[in-house]
Amino acid sequence: MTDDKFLGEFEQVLLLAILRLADNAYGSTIRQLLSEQINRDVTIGALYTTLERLEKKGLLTSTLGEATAERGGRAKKYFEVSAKGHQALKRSKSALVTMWNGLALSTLHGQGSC
Amino acid sequence: MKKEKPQSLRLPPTLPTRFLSWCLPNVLKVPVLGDLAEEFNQKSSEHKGQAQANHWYYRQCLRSGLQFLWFHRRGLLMFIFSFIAFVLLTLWAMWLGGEISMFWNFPSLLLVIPPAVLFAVGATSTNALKVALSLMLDDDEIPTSNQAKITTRLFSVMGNSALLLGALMTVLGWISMASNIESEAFANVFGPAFAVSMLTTMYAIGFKIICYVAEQKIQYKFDKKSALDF
Repeated sequence: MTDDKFLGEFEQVLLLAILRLADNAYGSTIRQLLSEQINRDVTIGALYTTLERLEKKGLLTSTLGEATAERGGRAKKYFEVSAKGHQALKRSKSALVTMWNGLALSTLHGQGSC
Repeated sequence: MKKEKPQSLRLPPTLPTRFLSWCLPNVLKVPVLGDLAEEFNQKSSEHKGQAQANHWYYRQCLRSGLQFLWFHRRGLLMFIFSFIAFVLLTLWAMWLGGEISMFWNFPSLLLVIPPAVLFAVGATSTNALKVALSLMLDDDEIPTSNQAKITTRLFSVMGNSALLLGALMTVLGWISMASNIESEAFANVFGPAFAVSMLTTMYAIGFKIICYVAEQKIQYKFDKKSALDF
């Protein structure tokens, strides 16, 4: 049994969003992607709280980018999923696939399994 | 090469920006406020208009600010809560002792607190007062060794000066009473006059408690930093 903890649902969603955005993953684009793709409107505060936590765990790395006029001259903070982050995602996906295997939601109520 | 300035660039509302900036830790101020400004400009240029963009911006700042407030301003919030609790308990004790109005005397307050603050600034500097207030309000700001020494000395001088001033004014009141009260009026006048003379000492003790806590808070911030460095 591994000592590594599994990712939370929102943590997985954020890591996947960053992978999808590739080299354009920063606060605004991540927030917009979550809103467009899974209809999840998160505040910028909630987003950065989780991003900071993932970075502290070593699952993400960040770099400061360019400052633009529409940002009031403030720099962007770009995020990238680290090798440890990739491993954590694979582990979480594998665990979920294993647990879902052989189950269908419509049969869960009353019968327990199919 | 000449840079072109975008025509439709709008500045986000100042008040929520300041609130969020105050709540955020230093490392997140630039990216978070930048992201919000960028999205605010996008929303302003959309057909929904400025009012909707403002509403969205206020909501984001308020909700995000509240999320960070407890984690990054915990020290200040605890200081404010303890101060409010101190005031409420004192008022309750006054209410138990009779009317609250008998504990209120504005001239007595003026005789203690402003001179104590002036003495403290005189013994240190106005810059020390600014740094001390900044250290009290900003949990992220960690005092250097010199700043810790100067600001704790400032609060120490402020609290002790208030105590001595309170005692001095009380003694002054007693001398005045002893010199002016006539024997016929003694029974009626002595009680109220004595009570008023003690008010300066009471205010001084209250002010000393606040200065003592502020002094210890700064010392704790410095000791915590030193322990982590070690």
